[in-house]
Amino acid sequence: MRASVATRSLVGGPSLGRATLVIGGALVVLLASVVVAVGLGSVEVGLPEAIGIIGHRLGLPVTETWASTAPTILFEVRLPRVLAGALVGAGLGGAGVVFQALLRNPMADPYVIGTAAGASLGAVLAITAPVLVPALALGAGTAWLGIGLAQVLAFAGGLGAVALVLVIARQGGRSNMVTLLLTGYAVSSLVAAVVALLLVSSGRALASVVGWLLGSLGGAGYPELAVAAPLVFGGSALLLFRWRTLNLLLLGDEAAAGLGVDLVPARRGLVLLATLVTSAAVALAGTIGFVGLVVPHLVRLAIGPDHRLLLPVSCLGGAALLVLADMVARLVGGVPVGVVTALIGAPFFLWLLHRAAGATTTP
Amino acid sequence: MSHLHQPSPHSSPLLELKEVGFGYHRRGRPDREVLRGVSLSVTPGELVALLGPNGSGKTTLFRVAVGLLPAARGSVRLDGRPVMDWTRREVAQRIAILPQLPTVPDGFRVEELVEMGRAPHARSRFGASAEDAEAVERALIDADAVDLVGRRVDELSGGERQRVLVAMTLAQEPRLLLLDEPTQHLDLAHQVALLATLDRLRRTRGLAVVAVLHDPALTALADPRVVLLNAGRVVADGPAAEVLRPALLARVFDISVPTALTLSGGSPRGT
Repeated sequence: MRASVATRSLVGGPSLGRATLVIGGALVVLLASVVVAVGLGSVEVGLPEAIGIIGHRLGLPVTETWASTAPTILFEVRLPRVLAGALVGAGLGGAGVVFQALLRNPMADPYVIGTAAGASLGAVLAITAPVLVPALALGAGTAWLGIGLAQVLAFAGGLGAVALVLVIARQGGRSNMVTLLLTGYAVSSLVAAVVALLLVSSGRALASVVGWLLGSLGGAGYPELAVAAPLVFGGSALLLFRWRTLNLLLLGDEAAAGLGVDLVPARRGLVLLATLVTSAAVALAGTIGFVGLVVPHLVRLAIGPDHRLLLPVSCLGGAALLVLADMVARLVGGVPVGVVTALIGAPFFLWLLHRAAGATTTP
Repeated sequence: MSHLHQPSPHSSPLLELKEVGFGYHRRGRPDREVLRGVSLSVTPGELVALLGPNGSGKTTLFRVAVGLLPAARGSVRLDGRPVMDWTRREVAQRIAILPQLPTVPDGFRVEELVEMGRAPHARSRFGASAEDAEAVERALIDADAVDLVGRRVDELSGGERQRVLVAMTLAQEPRLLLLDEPTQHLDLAHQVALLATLDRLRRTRGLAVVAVLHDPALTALADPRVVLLNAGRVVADGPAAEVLRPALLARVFDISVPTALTLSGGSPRGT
């Protein structure tokens, strides 16, 4: 009798009510962040005007109280940047969760197996090539489908580096996750050295190279968003369906296999999808740190480790965090968003970690 | 489970190993022969205790039996079909394996971990069925882990954690349970209770169990079929009373006969 009472409501994962509450809550936080971020900026389009303009665009009967340039600022400058922040944050938050489960390592982030280094190399090549080889300057302004060469090469570089890591890690028989992690580290270091070499010889392109490496959402326009969004959304959606595998992988290889996980194809699928999402995010905004590492931990502390909720909430949380961090970066003026995420996020994370540790030791 | 097997001496073997050989490799060359021609068949409703010294091949035998490692020689058949021909999920629906050194992830609650045992039966993309909920509940009761529900797995004691892991393998509702040292960390009462539960499931549901045990006296208590493994070979296979003889134990485990006599419960068996 006691058993039925104790377990019935608990079995079956998070109840529908809790899932709705948690995901709904995260969604509200994200929407609020987007609205606030769109409404705040250095130019004179405030929150009420922003809401009015959006309402007007949606066909609501709102009287125009704003300057004629306001809608342009809102829709052409701020909105794409805010949307890019949400997209990149969602991708990094979700991919971070996947890599931490896959590698069973709390220090893993979306960049760990080479994505960031490869993407950096691609972008830096695109930026410095015209400087190093003046003949290429003729083609420097070209854009493919409205997308800059740096973004295309960054995306290709991210995928390429991970492909290289996977091939090397598989030599010598069965690749395990430690080998993958270490190979990723070694390849990343090697590629980073090449990037550094390009950096010192980049001359007048130095500023834009460093800017890209620190990460920025300023360069994203609608064409870039239109390409990156399906990759991030599609990849994340496919990852969401694999929550069960992610949970089982935490039990260790032998137990996961014993529970029906076909390890090699399961891992391959996860690496592929998470890399696709990460590369799209990095191509859009450069290597923004902190989000992919810490958001999963923040969400885990708040709602627990079950990937059924952890993954979607980390996507939403990462999106909200990056939108707000970029807003702060804009308001302060000229500060890279990656610096803001670390400056505000790290102390907050430490406080939360401290509180969680305290909670487990008190009776 | 919809198909309940009654234990019957005429049942066809659930798992059948014939002359299985396996060796680990190092730098592509054979390094160590672990299994040297092991033959073993398990039928529904059987309780088999697997005993043997450290390094005698017990854990490797389990891995080969579920197809996690490919047999280098001989054959492994599950339900009459080579085990490597089944998908991992199909194997998991039939065999549950409790590893000797399982990883317990932080933050999960007892009932969440036990529910993971339902993974091979999952039909829906999200959530769990009423059938899953019932299986989890039954498993929690059978493993005496009901009182642990709601607690975080990483905050349990070793013995409590072991009961939860046993519950997880029971929730899997397999036809064969492979338990690698299931009594580790358990106090005496829970060791006896676990063996009693396994014996009951064997009789009532036709569950077949192969359990690695180290204590001959405890093994004798459950009166199982005992398979004694030494250096990758089956050196004895039969009723507990026949296999757990002090002279044989002394030879296999390299201890003195009086010590073996004391360890196997003090009463000489069929010497």
